[in-house]
Amino acid sequence: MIFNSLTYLLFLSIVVLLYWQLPRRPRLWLLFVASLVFYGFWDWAFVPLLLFSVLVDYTAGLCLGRIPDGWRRRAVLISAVAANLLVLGIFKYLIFFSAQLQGLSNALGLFQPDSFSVGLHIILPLGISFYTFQSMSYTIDVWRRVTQPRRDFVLFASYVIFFPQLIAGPILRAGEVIWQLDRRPAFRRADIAEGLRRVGSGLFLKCVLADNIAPFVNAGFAREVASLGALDVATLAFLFGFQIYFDFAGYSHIALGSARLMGIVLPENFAFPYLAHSPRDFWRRWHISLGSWIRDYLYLPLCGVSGGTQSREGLALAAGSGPHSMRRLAALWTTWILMGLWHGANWTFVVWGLWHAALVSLQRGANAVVNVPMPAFLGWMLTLPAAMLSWIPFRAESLDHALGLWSRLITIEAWLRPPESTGSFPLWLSLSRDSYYVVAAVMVAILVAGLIGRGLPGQSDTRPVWLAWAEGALAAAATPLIVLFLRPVDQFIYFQF
Amino acid sequence: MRAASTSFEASLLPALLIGALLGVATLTAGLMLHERSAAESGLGINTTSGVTPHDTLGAFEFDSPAGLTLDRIMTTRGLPRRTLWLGASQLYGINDRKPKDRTVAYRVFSVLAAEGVDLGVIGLPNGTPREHLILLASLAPRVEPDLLIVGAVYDDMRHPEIRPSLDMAAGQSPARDVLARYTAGREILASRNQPEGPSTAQQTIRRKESWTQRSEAWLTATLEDTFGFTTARKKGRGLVVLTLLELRRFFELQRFRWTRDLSNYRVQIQLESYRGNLTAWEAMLELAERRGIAVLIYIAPRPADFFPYDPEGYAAYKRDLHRLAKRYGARLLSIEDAVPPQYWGEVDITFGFPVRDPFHFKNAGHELMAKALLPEIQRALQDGR
Repeated sequence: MIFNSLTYLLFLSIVVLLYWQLPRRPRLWLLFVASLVFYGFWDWAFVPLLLFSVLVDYTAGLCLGRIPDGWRRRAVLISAVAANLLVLGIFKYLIFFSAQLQGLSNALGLFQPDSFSVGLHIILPLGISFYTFQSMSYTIDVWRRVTQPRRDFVLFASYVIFFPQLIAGPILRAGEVIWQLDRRPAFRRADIAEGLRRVGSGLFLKCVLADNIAPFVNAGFAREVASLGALDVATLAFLFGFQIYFDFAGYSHIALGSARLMGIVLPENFAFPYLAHSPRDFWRRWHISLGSWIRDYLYLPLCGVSGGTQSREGLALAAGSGPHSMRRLAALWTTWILMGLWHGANWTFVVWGLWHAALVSLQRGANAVVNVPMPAFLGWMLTLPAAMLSWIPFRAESLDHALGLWSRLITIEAWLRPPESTGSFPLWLSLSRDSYYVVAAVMVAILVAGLIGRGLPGQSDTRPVWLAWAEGALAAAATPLIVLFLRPVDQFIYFQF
Repeated sequence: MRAASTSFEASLLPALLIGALLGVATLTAGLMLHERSAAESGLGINTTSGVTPHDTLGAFEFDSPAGLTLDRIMTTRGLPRRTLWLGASQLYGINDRKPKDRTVAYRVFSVLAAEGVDLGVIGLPNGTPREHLILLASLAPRVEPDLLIVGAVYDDMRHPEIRPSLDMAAGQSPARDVLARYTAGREILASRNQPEGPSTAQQTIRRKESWTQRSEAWLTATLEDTFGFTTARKKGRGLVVLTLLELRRFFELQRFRWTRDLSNYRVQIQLESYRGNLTAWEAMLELAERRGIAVLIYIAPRPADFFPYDPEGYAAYKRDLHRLAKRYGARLLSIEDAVPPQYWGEVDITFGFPVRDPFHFKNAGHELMAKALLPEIQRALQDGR
């Protein structure tokens, strides 16, 4: 089921109404069954796979809770993680790696060209990267003794497959959510209000903004590279940057809002990423749950810190301080390559990861040399285009396409007059002019929203009452647009990861 | 401070609900009161799909399968006789539009409607005979027209492709069953059955059809039948886009003065695509003959000064049309010179960037085309098949 559909709105209404009527046990069953229905609306055939993932980590958690420290405990952890990664590997990466192997073997003349053509037609299960990571983090946390193993299967399964965040996150830690599912929440009007506000905001971002920016992006990326000038490429990067932000932040808002309607508070996933003033700051604001997951379960262990941010050393490294070393640098680059591959089995995503690794390394290097903090505005001016340009390989059709687009930015003729440009003097802009208008308008809107957001009290208990009515006025303006543009025409981009 | 927090939290839910209700009420009232049609809006070539420019419901279409629901609109109008007109963007694109301008389709509709004849028009941008065949196969059994009008544009014989919405329509009933009776139709059906090898990401997206799609279709249809929900939303989306276009025009004050030559985009007509489209022409005429529909083919006005057609190819095309019209008893009318050069577009800013638009008329061009066509349409309706 997808969020931007009438079906989901009807489904959510029914679930929320039932949820508040039922006592604890039936309520948990409701969430469990509703989540399966939610997933099954995409394809029932993959529900067993989903449950397999749940079962692996549920069993591993129980075993880890009973076995004392030692090799057996470590073996359970490794088996569970391996099982998770195996499922992910088969469904997400097998085709990619077999194609790479085939290419390599062809190049080396080792096998006949068709050696690996085994007719692989593997469907990528929806949200597999998200629920696998979430489920795996539970096992690792139990192993680290950060969280208690759960005996209640329905409770544990409801945490892993909780429908608001099942398909595209936020990736939850057991400690953040299980207790909320377990307790009997008190009905609060404030939760319902916040939930509605979030769902509305998310639908607006997705249906009104992201889906209407998409045609400009699609048209731009479909053009011949040679016909694009440097400003066109930069504009395309910004356009897609906005599209993916509205798309994914929209999804996260709906996820958070749907959960909040049931009194459950999920962690934030975005915090105005395009106002970040450094690459590190960007990753504290963009897809926060994935960033922190990667940090705690991949980067810090690669740095030799096993306890995640629970340890003092881990906390220091996560904060960007601590000793610089080759190991830390290698961990950083490895993490980013894997982060890229997490997004998709394609070299374009690896390049995207490498770009961000380079940005973060550059920042670290600069900080080490010049021990003076950069003015926030200057930092923003440098970070924003750097972050936007990273979206080129993320959206490009192939590595060649991405490199071709990037190369336009460093080609003099692309800044002067591209030979195949259909644009006109003086800027030789070749895209639809609405593309440039959209970029300008959205950028201004983000800046204004960011400034207003900064000026407002963060906590609802310190907000003045007129703000509630200002929100009402926004709802009056946004609701008609949501009603008009709510169409399940485009999938959320992050569904494919 | 605590009092403020209580007030905020207590006020948020009613504020949001009242705001949302006010928004929906305003939208509903706005849609009910706003009766502008697409013809009046002069959406020009920015309109991306089949439109029903004179739709009395005032619905603008921006979804590509729009034309396929034409029968519903015509049923609502309830006029005793029906005419179906398949053409290209020429039918609705108005250059240098003024508020009172009207498209050729609107003008013909106005006259025919007064005579008790309904007119359903689909102006498909760069619509090819193969695509028109799909539209006809889909609509003829449901619309049951007395007269079929088809525009012949030599330039559109170069396109072998079929746009996805029509490709999908070709596979659905009744179009599929009708198409299967003709060589051109079978070719279309065969080409859409080509095996595909999508990436895993594409596979994920495709597999997400199923229950969600089905439930969404059911909900949408139910809401449409009960409240006219889908039609109203389409109209609303049209109004939003139209408002943005007019806002853009207002801010720009048409200050752009440089132009871009669209003729760069033209490619040679390949024999293979020509043949495929000619077969589709024949299938359309045969289909009309079988169903007892009178046919009027008009050779569309062309901007000869801007890009002259290849003379031999164009002459051969007209010969082929004459031959087919004679064989299937269709009327053939050439209005290729009906609109002099000064009535064609000069600068069209609705294309994205200001372009020299050689494809669409100004208002006067629409008037001339309507004058050239109307008598022949009336005669065709009078004489029947």
